[in-house]
Amino acid sequence: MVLNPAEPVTRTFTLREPLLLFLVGACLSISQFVMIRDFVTILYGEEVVIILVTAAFFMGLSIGYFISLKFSYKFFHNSFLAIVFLHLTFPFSYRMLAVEIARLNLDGYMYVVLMFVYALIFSSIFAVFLPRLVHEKSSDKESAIQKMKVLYSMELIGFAAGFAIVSMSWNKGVDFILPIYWALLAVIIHLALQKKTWTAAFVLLAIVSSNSIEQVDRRTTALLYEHKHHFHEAETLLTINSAYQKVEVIKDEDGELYLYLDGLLNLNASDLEDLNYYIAETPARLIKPERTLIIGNGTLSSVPKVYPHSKFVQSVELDAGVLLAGQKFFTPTDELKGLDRWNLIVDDGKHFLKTTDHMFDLIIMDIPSPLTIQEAILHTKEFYQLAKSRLTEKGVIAVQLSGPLQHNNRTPARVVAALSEVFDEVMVINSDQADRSFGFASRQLPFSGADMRQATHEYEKGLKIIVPNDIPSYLSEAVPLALDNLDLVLCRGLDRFTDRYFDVDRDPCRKVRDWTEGYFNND
Amino acid sequence: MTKYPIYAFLTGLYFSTLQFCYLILLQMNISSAYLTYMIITTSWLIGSIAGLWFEKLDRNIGVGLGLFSYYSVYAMVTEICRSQVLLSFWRHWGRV
Repeated sequence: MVLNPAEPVTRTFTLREPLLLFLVGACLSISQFVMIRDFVTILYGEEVVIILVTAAFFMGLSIGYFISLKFSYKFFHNSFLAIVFLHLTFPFSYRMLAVEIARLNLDGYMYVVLMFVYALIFSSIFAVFLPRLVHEKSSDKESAIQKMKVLYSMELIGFAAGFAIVSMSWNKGVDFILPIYWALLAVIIHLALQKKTWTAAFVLLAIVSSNSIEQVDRRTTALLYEHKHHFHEAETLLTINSAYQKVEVIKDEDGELYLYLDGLLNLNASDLEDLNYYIAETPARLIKPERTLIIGNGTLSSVPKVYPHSKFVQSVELDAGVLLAGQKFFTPTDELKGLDRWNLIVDDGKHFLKTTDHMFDLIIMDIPSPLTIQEAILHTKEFYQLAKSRLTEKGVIAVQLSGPLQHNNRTPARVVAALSEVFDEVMVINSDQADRSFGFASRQLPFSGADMRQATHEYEKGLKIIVPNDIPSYLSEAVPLALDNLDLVLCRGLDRFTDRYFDVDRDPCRKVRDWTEGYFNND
Repeated sequence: MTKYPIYAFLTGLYFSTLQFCYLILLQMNISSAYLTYMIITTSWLIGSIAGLWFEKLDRNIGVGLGLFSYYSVYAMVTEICRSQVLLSFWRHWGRV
């Protein structure tokens, strides 16, 4: 049998090895995707978490390579079998363990330990094959190098094939990709161990498990939301992997719908009303734009709000998975029927702005907070400069600021600072009802604070309006977000992560800055 | 004995940094669409296989070639608005 030094070399055997490595590469690719997506969702998808989970996966691989030649064939055989059968619980077992950690209110470190243990178990076993196959039966250094070239190439080609399989699973649940993954694993078991009983046992269990993937996926997701996100009762209406993130729609005990992206709350149905009112409907009513551009807003819920006030509405959303969730649960297709002055393009906002020939009177930036680099790029002064180039003379860009504007260097202030660097006039409104501020920027704002007050007084009485002249006083500490200054992504992510799991003092970046300044000032 | 693990570690660090910077460079200047990530990963896989089989591609050339490719792309994306050919290609990048 393969990987067993006692087995004689035959023609079938030599063909089997490259095929085995090809399949190992494909499985690595798929398991990397499933594991990273799921752990990022469990730990909440800030950039810091994405880096940590990816590091855990690669650490598992490195350990696998490192120890591959340090144990006997028997140990390999037994541990491989145990792990490969454990793969049938993948990714539900670690999701359930995360639920238990949350339920028992265990220390936050337990999540990190869980992630590293699973990364070790799941990725290291695949890393063992290549060194063992290269090492065994290679009579000299030359033949070992030649074998390594062939087998490593096959593993890389397999990885590319796995990547293609992953691409086919976009906007589908794990019930699409897991049966394929298990089928590949069954072939690996057969090629590696050559024991029909083990292969048959695995196939049988895989077939039985395949029938309930969707139900188990939905139930374990709901349990995660009940215990980790503190829902009293949760029902999973949708859980899919888009090309960019895990998209989940959860219903609570009152029937309220929530959209989660990589485990982070994007919006709920009630918030959506306030958000759409301030970021879309209000500026559209005040400006009466010829052409409106909506970037983001995957739920498409702001389209019907803007449409009556604008002669043409262009929506640009990158993630087809969010669009799918939006149309299914947040904006019924009926609401969008007959909107013949509306167009939707699936594209990246900045790519669209760089390549469009049109000018806009209103650009609505309905995108998530800058918690990942991709999102943060859309809050930088360089991006606002690009948006400005596609705005008409009195065109306005409307931005949600992810929180209330205050006299500090946190996200809302930094976004407003970036807007202020690019535009001559910036107005900010702070809504208690929406629990955040909204910024409106232009070369020359076509509405005043009084206009804004008049337009909104029936919706919210105590709305705070900060007129352009008062904005600079809020920005004394704020550093504008820029492409070469995206520290906010890591700092805010680290702040949230350490606060959530380790109960560490807030804002570790500020502590480092203070310490550095203190150190150099003392010198 | 310790020379090669350190060399391998540093090479890994170098190429992972280069790959990350390359991804961010394209995301900032062209598009954050999935196509960008897919092209980089596929290119990385093809490059790794080429590195295995091209005898003349030793480690020094490989490291230098990586840096040269990065700055070539950097120059290309910053000049993109001035080239009609690149601009035309760029319009279709990542749009569905």
